[in-house]
Amino acid sequence: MTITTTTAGARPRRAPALGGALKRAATGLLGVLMTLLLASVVSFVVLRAVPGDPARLIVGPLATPDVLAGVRAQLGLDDPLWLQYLRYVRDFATLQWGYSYSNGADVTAVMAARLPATLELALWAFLFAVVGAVVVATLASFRGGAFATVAKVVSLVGLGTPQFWVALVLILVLGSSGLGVLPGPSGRLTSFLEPPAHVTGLYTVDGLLAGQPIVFSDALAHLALPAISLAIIPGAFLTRLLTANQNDVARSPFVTVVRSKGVSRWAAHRRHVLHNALLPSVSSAGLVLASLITGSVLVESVFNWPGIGQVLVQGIQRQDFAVVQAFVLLSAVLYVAANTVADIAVALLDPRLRVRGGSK
Amino acid sequence: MKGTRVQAGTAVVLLAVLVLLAVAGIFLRGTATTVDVANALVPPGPGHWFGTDAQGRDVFARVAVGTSIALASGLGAVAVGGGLGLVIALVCGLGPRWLDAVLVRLLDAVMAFPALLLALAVTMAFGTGLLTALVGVVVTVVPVFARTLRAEARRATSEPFVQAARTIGLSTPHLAVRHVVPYLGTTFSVQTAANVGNVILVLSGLSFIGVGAQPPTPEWGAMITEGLQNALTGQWWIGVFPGLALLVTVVAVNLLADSIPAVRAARLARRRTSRPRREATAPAPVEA
Repeated sequence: MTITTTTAGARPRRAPALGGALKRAATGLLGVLMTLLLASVVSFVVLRAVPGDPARLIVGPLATPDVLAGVRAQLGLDDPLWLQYLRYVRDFATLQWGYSYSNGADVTAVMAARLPATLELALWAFLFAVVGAVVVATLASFRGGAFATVAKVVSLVGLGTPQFWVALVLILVLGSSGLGVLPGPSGRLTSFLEPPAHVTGLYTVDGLLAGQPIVFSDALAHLALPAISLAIIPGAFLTRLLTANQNDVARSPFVTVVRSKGVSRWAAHRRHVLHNALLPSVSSAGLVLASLITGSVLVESVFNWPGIGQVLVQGIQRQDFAVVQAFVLLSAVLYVAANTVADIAVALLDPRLRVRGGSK
Repeated sequence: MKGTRVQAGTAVVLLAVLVLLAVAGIFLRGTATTVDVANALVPPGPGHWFGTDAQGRDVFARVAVGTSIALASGLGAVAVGGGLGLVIALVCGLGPRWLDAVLVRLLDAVMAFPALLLALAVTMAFGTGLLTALVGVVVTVVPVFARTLRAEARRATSEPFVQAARTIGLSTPHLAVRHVVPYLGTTFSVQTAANVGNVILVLSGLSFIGVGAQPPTPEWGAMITEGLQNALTGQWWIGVFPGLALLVTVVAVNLLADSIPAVRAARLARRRTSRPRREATAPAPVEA
């Protein structure tokens, strides 16, 4: 997990002195496109041009040379590399991600069908992580002392946690084979329940919209353990970040001024310290997203969760190369996109960055 | 300050225990793969401290061998990846500007992939196995080192001692090895500690999803996969112990990484007060 290394991601871009926000945005966008282009080259080189023969992977080791040649021609593997690369980028950009023979459908269709499950899981995990981190970090920064020490140790341990192992332990302790409080690895709903009418594809949301509280609570119970397993690493990371940010802000002179005006310590902390500490953490959205993507790959298969992470793992086990290829490049695109959106959001939200002509 | 010392002490104690376990693992290699179907699925007890798995193999022996595999592969991958990253950083820092710009863009592109997925792609390209998984992990480590060390190397070029060395006519390679590399020492050690934990996690993750070390090998991730198959029937020990070892290892390494900068800064501060004339050549402490 790259999450402890804070150096990842888009660099702060230095804007030219003239031209203002528009020019800055253009340069930024150009940089993002450049990174994406290079990322596609990297994934092309790794997945297409290195020793392993994709055609051989598709047809298996026992295929005759004729079949192999046929598949090679069909995939365009006999064309020059630059042509293959252009085709690769075009196919990715136009969502033609190839045919997944292990699923018997186009990769795009498989991913689209499985995306809501992953999205729902990731959204709840994100919610758990953010709420948990804000509460723990604020208390740790406000109270200090033993609570802060415990919070620090717990978040350090959390960062080093193998999510798939936590998933196993949670099933053993709380799941069907332990206390039996929550369902074990049995997908998104209890088998006798019908999925709610499709609106968003998220069972918890759709269940509420359809006015079926039983579906909602059942879906939530099935979500709880995988979402907690998924939330641990981003939660620990955000806790550390928010605690450090709040401790920094709490020491700044303006907080002393606020306090001298008669604002209580808690009010000052909540209104001023917490608010100012939240903003910089927006720029770590990319890292959080990356950890959720990685986590979904590791956790979904433990819980038999029918999301895209499970598709990837099954694709690996069945040597279904098209799935792996699409997933890997997609993860990079999402990561870069999240970083870009976060950069823009911070620039819009933080008045200090709204200086015309770019500040240093 | 006291907190840092406690933290560093805890890390050292935990790592010492793990090294002992790893050394035990070297001698337990035979036991770890000995199948004994008559004693399958024995719960933890005096005969088998961590119990036995579905094929009657001793889980403690397997965890111990797993420790030696994890420590060796973690340190090995970081050493190779860090070394390559250092070379790239020196080229970026001391080479021409345009080369620096190109390399930085390329490093950013590689870092756009989540580590596990990039390692997975590389491993799949070369064929599954522990060795190819190591190659995959090295690819993810290189840009992390290169990116951080490059910034430090660039800073070094504006330091008086580097400029002085240039003035007296040292060649760039000589300058790099004798003067810039020592300057990068602290950053390198912090990065090493910070990455070993990640690397071990990614490697076990790869084995867990079936790309890394393959089943008979007592690798933690692969063992947890096996443990999952027995979890629902109540044999918790098969998957829990390897994961616990993994957790302790990563936490110990991360604790160490977390305390290196503070310990270095304290040591540096002591040295400065006792020998003030050396101040000019001492490397700057790295911010945490």
